[in-house]
Amino acid sequence: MKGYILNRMLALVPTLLIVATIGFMLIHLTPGDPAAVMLGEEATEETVLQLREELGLNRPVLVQWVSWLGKVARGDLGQSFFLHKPVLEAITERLETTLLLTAYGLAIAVVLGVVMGIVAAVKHNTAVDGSLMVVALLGVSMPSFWLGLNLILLFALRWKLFPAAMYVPLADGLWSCLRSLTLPAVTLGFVSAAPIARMVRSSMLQVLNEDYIRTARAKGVHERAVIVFHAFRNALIPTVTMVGMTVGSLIGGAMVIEQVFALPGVGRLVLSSIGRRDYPVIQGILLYFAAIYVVVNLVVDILYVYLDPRVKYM
Amino acid sequence: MATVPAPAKGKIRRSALAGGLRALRRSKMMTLGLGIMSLVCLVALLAPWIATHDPLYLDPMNRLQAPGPDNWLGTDDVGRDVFSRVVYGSRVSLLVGALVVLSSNLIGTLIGLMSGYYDKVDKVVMRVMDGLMAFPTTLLAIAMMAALGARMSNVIIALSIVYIPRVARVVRGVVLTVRELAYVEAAVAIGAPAWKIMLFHILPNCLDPIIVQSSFIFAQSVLSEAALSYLGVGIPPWIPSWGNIMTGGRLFINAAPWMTWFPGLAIIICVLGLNLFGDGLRDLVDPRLRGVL
Repeated sequence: MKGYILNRMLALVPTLLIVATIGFMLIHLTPGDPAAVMLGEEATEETVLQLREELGLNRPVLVQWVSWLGKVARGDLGQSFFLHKPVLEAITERLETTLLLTAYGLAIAVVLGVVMGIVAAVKHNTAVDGSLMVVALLGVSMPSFWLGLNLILLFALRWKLFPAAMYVPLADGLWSCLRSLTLPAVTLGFVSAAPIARMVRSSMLQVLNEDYIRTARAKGVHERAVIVFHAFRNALIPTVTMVGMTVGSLIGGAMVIEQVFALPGVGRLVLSSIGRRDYPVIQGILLYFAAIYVVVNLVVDILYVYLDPRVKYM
Repeated sequence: MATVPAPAKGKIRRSALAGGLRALRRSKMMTLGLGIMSLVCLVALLAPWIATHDPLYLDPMNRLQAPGPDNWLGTDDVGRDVFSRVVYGSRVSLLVGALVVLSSNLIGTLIGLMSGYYDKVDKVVMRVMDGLMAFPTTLLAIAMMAALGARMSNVIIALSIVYIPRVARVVRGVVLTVRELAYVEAAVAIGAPAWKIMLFHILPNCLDPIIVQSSFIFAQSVLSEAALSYLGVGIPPWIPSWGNIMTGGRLFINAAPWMTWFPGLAIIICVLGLNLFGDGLRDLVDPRLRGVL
């Protein structure tokens, strides 16, 4: 087991190296001179040259790349032009909102997706199954920001059950914080629950036809125990894969949802940085969240071994 | 030894068409999806005749009007007709979706074929593809748009880069299986050039998964384009796209919810059609999944 985990962790190194390189390429992908683009059309040639020197853009690309990788390896994502502080500091200041929103959204997506998937599989080919799958299909076809705006209209503006756009930090109390994040998390969770529900249903349907399920029923095991302990446990592997993939879409979705609910998270920092052409911040956020996503996928890979010990021999 | 005459080209085409029609008859969902998509395409094609007003015409005296006989879906904050803007918005979404599918399929298929066929290419190129897939898609698209600038062509480029690795991975998977088959080995043995083997012996096997993947990429592109435009980093605000219309509606969600409802419903209908069609196609290509997913 330790060997498997070590191997998977070592495989992270080249992936992170490639991710960092792509992040580096992004600023060099900008058409024209990145320094001129950052300073805008009114900048003089002198200030552009000065910024080029500050950014090190006058050095050979290979030298810039090696220097960038060295800084990233030390946890230095660069300096924000506009905020005049390290990018990592700017990200961590706003990380609480984004991570809490993503985690809350993930919890809703998993609970909703798993329950919908199991019920649909157990009631296969009935009206319940059909209705749940229509809801799931609507979920994968719906823009999250549209759902968010409608939830604001109903639950915040009309019925006044939740705040429309007010984030309460965790330090001010867990319940107030969760309440302020409920509408955004439900929006994020509902849209992400749909693919999980479809995957749980399909995995359950395949497992429910296996011989050992028939054996468990023949032994007189209670139906609920058959579903939860015999069938769902074995349907968990594809489900865990889907949940791992969902984290990526949740992080991306959180960027959009923060804008809808005016939450002071990393997503809003990205968008304001685009307006200010603060490329180091955009680059830093891209790298930071790609690294989180890669680590989440590592955790999913390790979870496989616990769920299905055959995996480590493959 | 008796020989079986090869069917004429026209006959093959007719039988493929008949097979497609049979599949449509069997799958109600796929028929519904195709019907919805045909309707959306028709609306986009006939937009100048269907739209009741000029989608760009400002009429401040008539702002924030609720849906009624003059403006079927109401007006926005500067008096533009929402129905006409939604009708014209379908052109943007379909154009972006179609071009993203086309470019990501062309480049992704080429990369997948080369990676699957040549081990050395695989070691380098697929690692880059894995690296691209490590980024959350929306975040990567936002960052790409920040680097490229908010223009329709850049939305297509950014979304294509996001989806190329997905196509490449699917094609590579098929190539790895097919290149071990006897008929490919036979082609290699008789000295057929690599490009011919890839194009005529391996590529036809990749078409089914590519077609299935295309409908889902199309659906995701429509949603991503709307999200980018809603965030203000996608289609420029003066072009009526479904995402842009909703950006305008955000501030008037209480006073004029129709500005948000109808473009959103248009997106749902379009993406639903694509997903239904994609699900049907997938069932057709892999009957083991029929009624399961």
